[in-house]
Amino acid sequence: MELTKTQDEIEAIREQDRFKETKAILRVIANRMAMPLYMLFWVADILYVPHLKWEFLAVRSLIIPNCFLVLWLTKKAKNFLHIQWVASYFVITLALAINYMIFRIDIAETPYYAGLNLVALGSLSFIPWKRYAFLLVTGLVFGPFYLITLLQANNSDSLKGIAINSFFIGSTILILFLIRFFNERLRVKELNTRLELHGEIASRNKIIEEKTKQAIQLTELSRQFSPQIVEAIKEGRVTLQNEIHRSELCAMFVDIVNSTERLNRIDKDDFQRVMAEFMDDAMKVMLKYDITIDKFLGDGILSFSNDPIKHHDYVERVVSAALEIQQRIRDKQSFYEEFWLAEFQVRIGISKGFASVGFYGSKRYFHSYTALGPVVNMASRICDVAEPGEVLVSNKVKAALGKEDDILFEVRGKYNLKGFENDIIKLYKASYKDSASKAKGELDCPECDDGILYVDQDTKGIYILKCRSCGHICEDEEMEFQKRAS
Amino acid sequence: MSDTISKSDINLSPARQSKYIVRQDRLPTDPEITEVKVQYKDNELSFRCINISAFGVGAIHSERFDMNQTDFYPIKVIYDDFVLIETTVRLARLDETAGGQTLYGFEILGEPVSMDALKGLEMAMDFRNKINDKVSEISNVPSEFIHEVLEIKDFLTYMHSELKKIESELPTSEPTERSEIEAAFIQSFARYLSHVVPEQTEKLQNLWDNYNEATKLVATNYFRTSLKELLFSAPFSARAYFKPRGYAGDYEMMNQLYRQDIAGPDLFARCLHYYFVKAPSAQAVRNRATYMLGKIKKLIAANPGKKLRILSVASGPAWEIQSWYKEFGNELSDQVEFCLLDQDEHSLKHAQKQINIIARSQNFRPNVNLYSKDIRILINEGLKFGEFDMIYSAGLFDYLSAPVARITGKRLIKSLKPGCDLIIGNFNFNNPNLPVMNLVFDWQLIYRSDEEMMNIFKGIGSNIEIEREDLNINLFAVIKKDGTD
Repeated sequence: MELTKTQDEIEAIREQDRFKETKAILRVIANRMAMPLYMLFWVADILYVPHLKWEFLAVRSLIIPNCFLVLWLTKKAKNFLHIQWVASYFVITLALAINYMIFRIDIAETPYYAGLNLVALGSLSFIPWKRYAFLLVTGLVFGPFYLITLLQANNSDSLKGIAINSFFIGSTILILFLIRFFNERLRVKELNTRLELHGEIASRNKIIEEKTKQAIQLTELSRQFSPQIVEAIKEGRVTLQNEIHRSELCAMFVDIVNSTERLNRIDKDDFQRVMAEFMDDAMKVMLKYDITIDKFLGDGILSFSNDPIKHHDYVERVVSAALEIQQRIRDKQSFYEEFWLAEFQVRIGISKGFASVGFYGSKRYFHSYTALGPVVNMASRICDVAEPGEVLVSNKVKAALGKEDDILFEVRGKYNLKGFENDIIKLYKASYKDSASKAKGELDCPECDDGILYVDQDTKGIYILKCRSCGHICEDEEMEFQKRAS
Repeated sequence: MSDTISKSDINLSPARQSKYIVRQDRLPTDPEITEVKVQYKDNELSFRCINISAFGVGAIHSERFDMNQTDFYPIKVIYDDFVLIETTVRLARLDETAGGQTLYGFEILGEPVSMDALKGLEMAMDFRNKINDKVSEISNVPSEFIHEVLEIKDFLTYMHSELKKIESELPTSEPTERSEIEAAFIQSFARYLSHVVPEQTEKLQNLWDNYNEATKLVATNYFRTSLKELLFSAPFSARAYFKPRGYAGDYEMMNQLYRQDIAGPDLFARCLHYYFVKAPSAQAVRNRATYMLGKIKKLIAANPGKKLRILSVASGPAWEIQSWYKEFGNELSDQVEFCLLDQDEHSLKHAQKQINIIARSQNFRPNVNLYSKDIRILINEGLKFGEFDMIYSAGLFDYLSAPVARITGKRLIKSLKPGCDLIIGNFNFNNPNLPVMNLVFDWQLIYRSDEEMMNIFKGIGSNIEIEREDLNINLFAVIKKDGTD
């Protein structure tokens, strides 16, 4: 919504207001005021010009059909210009009748000019005329009067009478003009105040709307991305490309062993509790390594790394996350056994390759940052052939990791995976060499378990290492930690 | 207007808060200085005004008056002795606040109050607060610091007015004669400044060093506010401080340092500018480019006929590469591929343009590749441009904390061929212009000693040596990668 109005726009709004006001005024004066007032003044005719009373009654009676005509025209008027002409017509016809009576009375200094003043008072002060219409109507109300009376004037007394009448007429016009002028200024001022207020409210609403939209978007994003990525998106350091793009990824598929069988065997609440605990752990680990969670597939999780944030060690991150997930499950086995009533195990498949990445699905319903491509399907197929508790990786994953000191790769054999029937894929089982959990890397936060350090700038413009999870800033002394880690 | 108002005096009691929707167009006023005078039963009552909108006034009073919603009351809203509104109101609502006061909501009858007047009130309040903040900020600046700043200000103001006189007396009929006189004058005067300025700024720096962080901040603000018009009239200091490219030390600043020309709107600004570009720290920047040029020449001389790849990280205008092409472009341009990496695209384009100008004038084809990358990406992704025979960086590591510097060093050394050198430049503490850089330019660097450099890069190569340029202001860690080429 546009928040500031130009002078032309304000004028247009005011004209619309004038249109409505004039219509409302005409409905009153052409209906409830003019007809009774006109007829009422016939009493004056009886007293002042009894010889013309029937003629004047006939003239006065013409006002009735005229009022109905004006009411009909008012109803038909489409804009302010139309309604202004209708009002002009009405006022001029009212004045014309009075001017006719003045002509018939044939006395230059007749007090019937007061009738014209009443018409002027009733119409010129209420109707929001444009200035030219105001002058035109004033001219046509009083112009004929002067023409008639000046022609009728035959002595100095008559001229004196016209001069006195003119004094009152002039004063009336002046007062009416001033009333109109100040009233119009007040209306415009009021309109400006009203528009400013509307503008302010609209502006606030817009801000609220935008902030709400942003908040909703960020809440949605936080389901898929790690807090550091969400923060980076919020700060504008990472842009989620709107269009689908090709990206080299490392995909991971995690599947819970025997989950369908357990669902039928154990209590529903226990099943939920185990699932919640596992999902919570798995997600924490994935987000810690900046891995994007693509989707939950029943009892499985599909995720990938290297998009939207690129990492030189994106393959290492996925393998490390997979091993850490397996480690966490082993650490919590007593909890799982209590509710799962069996050994809780997952199988994990990891593959590397290109995929199309972006927001897929309906904007309104299922709109998520998703990867589509053979690499994703392959991770799922590798997972299918993995043993419970195993992390199985493709040869490409192993090749990308090269010589990793703390990860051991054992050949599991060559496979002809479903959907990749024409390819023979060599798979490797990944595990920590000493089976103990991996030592912290140089970009792991030394202060908390789940944090990874990223490069930020401090207020002086100095580049520092900071943990998004706990906010810890890596000090110079912690270089020793880095040296150990490397 | 005696007692001070607390928040609970203004807020409705918690039980009543949920009943009302707060109008968002209300302008909160300071009840300490905004008063509402209400004509009530032949008395003029004084309320404290808490907010105003186009349609109403909110006020509080310790007493509860028996006002009717049907009666009209003439009121005046007085802001700091200025009658802001004089109108008629009716009581719209009456409530108890959490602090036991009575809150009166008055509806303005007739024409709504002009928003312009309210805006004026708001601006007046903001301005008043701003002045108060400034006064309180200055009161926190230690007096000895103020004294030193005022001494410098006096000196600069005197210098400014005297230089104006001298400028007006310079001959105007002969531009060449005038510029020659002026250049000789500026060069001589800049030498005088090089003795005086460090002495004066050092005193300030010594005081500043002993303050806590909050005092440092207010002292620095005071220094810059007091002297900005004088100091930032020089193009170099203005660019350093205002950082039009978003960071200090952009390629245009480097160009100013390499060109060492006389620039500025008047004689005073030209003197200051020339002093800044001739200062020892500026010379150290030129020296480091000469040092890097020497390293490039040495590498090429040691590998005759061999195709070499050299990477400059945070390359800026790549003055040393421009100089090398000027000297050897004709005969050796095919042998060397230069890769320039910088976060600033404009800087890369500028360097490319300058090199192309040299190449066109000498008729050779330069082998230069440009990479625009942020330090964050360098750390996350590493370099993916193949392996290099030499990587050097001057003007980047001064902005990296030790942990970031170490990681960056590791990423860079990964992209070196075995047995080749990574050369990393860093300012050391031996910089006589350190106070000027900190206080005047707001050019914050991390200064490092030999030991600190050694400690940061320990273990990332097979050997580290610390070298220095002629002025000993810039240090260079020369890190050799394992293996033989």
